[in-house]
Amino acid sequence: MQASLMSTYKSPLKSKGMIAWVLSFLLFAFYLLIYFTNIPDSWAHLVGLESKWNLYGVLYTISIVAGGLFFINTHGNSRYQKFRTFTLIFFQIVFAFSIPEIMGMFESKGFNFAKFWPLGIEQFSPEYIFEYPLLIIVYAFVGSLIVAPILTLLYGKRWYCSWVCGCGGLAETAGDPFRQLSSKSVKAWKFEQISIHTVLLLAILSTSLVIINWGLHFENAAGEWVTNHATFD
Amino acid sequence: MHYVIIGNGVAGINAANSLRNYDNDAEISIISYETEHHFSRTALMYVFCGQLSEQCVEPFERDHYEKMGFKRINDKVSTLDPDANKLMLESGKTVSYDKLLIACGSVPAMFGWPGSELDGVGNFVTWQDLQWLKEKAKTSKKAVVVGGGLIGIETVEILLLAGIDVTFLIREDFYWPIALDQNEGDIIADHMRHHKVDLRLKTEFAEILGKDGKVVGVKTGDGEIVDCDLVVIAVGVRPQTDWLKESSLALDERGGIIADENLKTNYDNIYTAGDCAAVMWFNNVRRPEQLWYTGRDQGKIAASNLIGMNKIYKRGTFYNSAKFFDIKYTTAGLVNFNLDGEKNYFSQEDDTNYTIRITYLPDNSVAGFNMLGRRWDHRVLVNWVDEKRQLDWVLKHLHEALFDEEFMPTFKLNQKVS
Repeated sequence: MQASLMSTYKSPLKSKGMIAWVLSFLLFAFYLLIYFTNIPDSWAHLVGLESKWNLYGVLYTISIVAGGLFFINTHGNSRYQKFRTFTLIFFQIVFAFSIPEIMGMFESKGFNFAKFWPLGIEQFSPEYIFEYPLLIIVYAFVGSLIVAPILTLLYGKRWYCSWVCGCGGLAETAGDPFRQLSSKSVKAWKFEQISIHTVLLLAILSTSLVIINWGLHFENAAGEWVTNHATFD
Repeated sequence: MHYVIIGNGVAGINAANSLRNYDNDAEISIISYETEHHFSRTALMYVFCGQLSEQCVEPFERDHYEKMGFKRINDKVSTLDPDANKLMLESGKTVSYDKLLIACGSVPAMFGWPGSELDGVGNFVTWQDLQWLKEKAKTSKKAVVVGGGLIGIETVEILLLAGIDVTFLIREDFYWPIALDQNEGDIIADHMRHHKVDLRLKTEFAEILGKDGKVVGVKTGDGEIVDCDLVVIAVGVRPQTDWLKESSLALDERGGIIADENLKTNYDNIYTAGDCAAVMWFNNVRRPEQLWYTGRDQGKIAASNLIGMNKIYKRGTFYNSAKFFDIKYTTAGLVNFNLDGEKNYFSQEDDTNYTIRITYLPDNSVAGFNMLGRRWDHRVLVNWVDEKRQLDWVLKHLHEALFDEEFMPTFKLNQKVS
């Protein structure tokens, strides 16, 4: 047994102690500020970054790297977990963070090559994807519709969620010390089954609407509610 | 029809579930005093460590009894009157049954060593033991664990993790001779010493020393004194049947409830399953099988027979797995049984604890496997034993039984001893 697992249900941080509530409050406040105000822009300028979203990207990547190192300290006796965690860190640093930044330096729109539809729901929005070179357009479609489904058939969803994805990446690294707190009840499982399929359905529906709208060239008053670019930025 | 089950361990709860599957209307009562909810006893060490919460080790949700329509009686049975179909409980109440299943499990074996009653002496088998050890571990500095088996080594491991120095007393020449050979036992012993266990092999345990009612040390058979403030005794378990000694239910000399091939006792409406049941082994010796999966299987078979079917309990080829600190252990078939003319094939991969021992018979058919280090799929190994595969064939196909997680170093046979 790993000594670092001893504290899973003993440390107040990992078992809903006071410090855990304070931390959740701070995180919650941070997300409210970053999504609904421009205050974090000034923090970004302070450290020489362009906008709050650059700051968010830096903090996100630091969380995955630091959390990943903690994870390896806890589960690193398994070669599988070691390889997996280093891969996650690699994809976050290189694909999710650096490549889009470097593309920006060359006056191009950034593109995250480790993201596929429907997680990268904008990739099937014609107005968004057609601004990219042909190679990236082909990459997005082949990746989302052929490569990702085939890899999932072969390895299960873990190939993406636990090896590549930035969302799963944060959960598996910085989020790992808290995973035991999720509900394991039958109720929670049933909710998950319904909710994931509902979300997929909504993704397909909204993407279809966007494509139909684009195909029908509704660009003025009547169609504004579906063509609003801001939704996909 | 009122079915009463004594015990909500793995045998009892599986029997209750099976009964409900067969009969939607039956009245089913479960009597137990250990815990309100069924829990996985084999995971006690993880609860001690805080790696799992107490509720994590309950396999069913807490509304299970209600959902299945079981009546849960929180009490201890004090006596059985099989002729009147009646149980007397410690609270003074009585419970009548039409059919009874006794699945009350085992209790730790204690051999009346002087000082056993001192504060700071205990076991690590029950839920109450868990609470006791958690409390003691808060203040203990130095512990002695007695008994070189699975519970012993698990207790040593978790006490070390809790920051307590541990002396491990083992009577035998090497660790766990019932399951391992000298070489395998030595590998585990080295591994324990690597983890800073003060391991004492060939050391008898004579008495526990106390002062003001509290443990202060342990005296070994050689008269040596080991200072400590905590003693955990793990020299095995015995059927929990003291409460049946006065009844006319037939017990064997070890205290096991004698079960026929249907798991029926000497009374037609009383069955038994799990650790307390003495069942016939393949070699015509009658004794309990103190294993998790046999308890589960026996519970299901007993339930079928309680409702009037005629199912025969047959364990099939033995298998088991465990972990000694970081070293995984898988066994299947018969090793360490000194079969007529048996030979052992042995392989150890260079610079690792990864060993393979295959016991085979004079006709070269394999009889059993003992594997350390890597993870093996016992289903495949059991099949090969059942099919009496030849050793050469098995060695060629051994990789098919590998059950390692991905990215483990490539498996290589490296025969050392024949």
